[in-house]
Amino acid sequence: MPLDDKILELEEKMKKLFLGGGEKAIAKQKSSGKLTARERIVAILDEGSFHEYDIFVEHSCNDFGMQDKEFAGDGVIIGTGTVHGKPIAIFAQDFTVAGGSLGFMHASKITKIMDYALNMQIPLIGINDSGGARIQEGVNALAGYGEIFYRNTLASGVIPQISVILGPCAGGAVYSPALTDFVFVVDNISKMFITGSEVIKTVLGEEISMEELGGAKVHSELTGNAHFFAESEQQCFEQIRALIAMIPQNNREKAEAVAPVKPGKKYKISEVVPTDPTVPYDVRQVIHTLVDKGEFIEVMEKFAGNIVIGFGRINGETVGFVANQPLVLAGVLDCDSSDKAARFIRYCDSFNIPIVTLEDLPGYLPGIDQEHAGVIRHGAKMLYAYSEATVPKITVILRKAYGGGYIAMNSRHLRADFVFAWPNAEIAVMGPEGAANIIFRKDILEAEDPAKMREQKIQEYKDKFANPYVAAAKGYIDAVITPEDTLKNIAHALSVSKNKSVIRPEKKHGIPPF
Amino acid sequence: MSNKKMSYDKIVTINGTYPTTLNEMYRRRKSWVPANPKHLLSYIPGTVVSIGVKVGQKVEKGEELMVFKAMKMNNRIKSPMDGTIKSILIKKDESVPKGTLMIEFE
Repeated sequence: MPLDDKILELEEKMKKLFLGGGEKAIAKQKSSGKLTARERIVAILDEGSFHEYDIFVEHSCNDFGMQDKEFAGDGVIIGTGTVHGKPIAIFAQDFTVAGGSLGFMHASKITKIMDYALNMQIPLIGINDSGGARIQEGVNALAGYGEIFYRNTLASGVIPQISVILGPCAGGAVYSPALTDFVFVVDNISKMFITGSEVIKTVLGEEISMEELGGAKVHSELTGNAHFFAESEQQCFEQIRALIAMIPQNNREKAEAVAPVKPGKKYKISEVVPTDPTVPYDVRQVIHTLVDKGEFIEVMEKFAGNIVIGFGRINGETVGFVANQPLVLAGVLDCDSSDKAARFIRYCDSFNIPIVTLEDLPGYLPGIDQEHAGVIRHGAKMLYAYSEATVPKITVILRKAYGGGYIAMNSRHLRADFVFAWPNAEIAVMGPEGAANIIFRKDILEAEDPAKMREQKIQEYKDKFANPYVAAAKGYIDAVITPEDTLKNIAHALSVSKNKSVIRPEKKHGIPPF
Repeated sequence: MSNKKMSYDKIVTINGTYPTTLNEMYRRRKSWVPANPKHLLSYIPGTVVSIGVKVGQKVEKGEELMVFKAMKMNNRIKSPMDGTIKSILIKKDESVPKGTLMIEFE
């Protein structure tokens, strides 16, 4: 056979394989508002950059009549490409082929591209759209999942791992995304759960829809399993590209610096934060005035909104922000917000991203539900993450810094490199009202007019402690700065910390309060 | 060792029913109830500082309904929806536990 015919033969084969599960299955996928696996990959990557591997892989199962079935590429597409010119490894499960079910060869393709990503030190994007384990393949399917989880863990903190849930992701399959750094979900398309609503109905008699059980909103607002929520697949892909631009390729590099741009101008930093400590405001407006172009990529926007985390650039370089949000729950630390911030801090530390902490909080949230939910061990994660982090760490105290919250929010004592405070900052062991009630209990009880005495003592306490100067006198605060000078001070602190190096006692790994 | 026979509860999993002892968390489990979008609940324990709306009043989504002091902060409680106030179940200066029904919409 001449070469031309061979090439024709190859083209014929490819044409068939490109159709995945066939035209009918593709039409069904499209009718439920979903793109096909290949379309998704192409939409995320730079135009024309996708190179596919293992398209000829076939399944290896001979039981239950499987020997007579052909699955194009065994239901998953793998390959490499670029995003903003940076190399990326990617896989996408193809729901049109046997429901994207995971068999042994399907898993082998995924682990192959994971190994590439880890060896080449490039980020990995995984698109999940699968009915789950291919039951006919039995324990081989389970083995496949296990191999993926192991690699997710191995790659954690070495290369960025991004999971995109664009369809069902159920049962054991959910644990791969859960082990990765960022999970992206799309409204009405993503569904994640361990046991579905059918099982819950049969076993427990409780009725709930798939959407209410594990839809995109649930995971963005309630469970904290998802980091980015989008209304459409297209919006989701834009979010992924924006994130990739902001983070480094691996843990040995720094995020690529871009040309510095002036910060956002929509708000004036001196006008955002009210002087009265009981008046809430949106801390994202403060961040807006600090980051280039006012562009801030917020992570987990709708979950535990009392803490705001995300990436922005200062002078063209990527910075991770952790900020108390007085607009939500007065900005308290609680189980969820501690959990959320702690993981983000560890992400930044793993990938050489300096952390800027904006502090304004009344402390940890009191309550029986919080205590019983384990706020002690969850709250401890914050202390652990900040103490452990060796990237440049800068704190600005905007207003309140009370009690345990003061220590937890990257205080000098946890080895912040620079701590700045605004002139109206209040750094104290607790709020003036609570403190006065305890310290001057006797004076207040024995006074002729206890209410008046209490007011007087609260004021006394405020005058003495509700300012930054007591802490500054001890060197816990490096400088008291005006709001207008905040960016200048942060930028300078970042520039002098560029070569920061910290020596830590040698250990295999710590034992954080997971 | 006491000879007293252990009493077991039943736990149902996807793969069958098993006799076992149950832990405290499992026992205290409450059935899931879907959230009523017409109910405004307190999301944190706190004190009602002021109420800015009346029964029968029409409000827009995002409009301020009340000021709710919690964790040393005067939180602005905004309307989660366009609608009419059906009933107000709290009073000024009242301290309210978490999860209390404060305002009901029609």
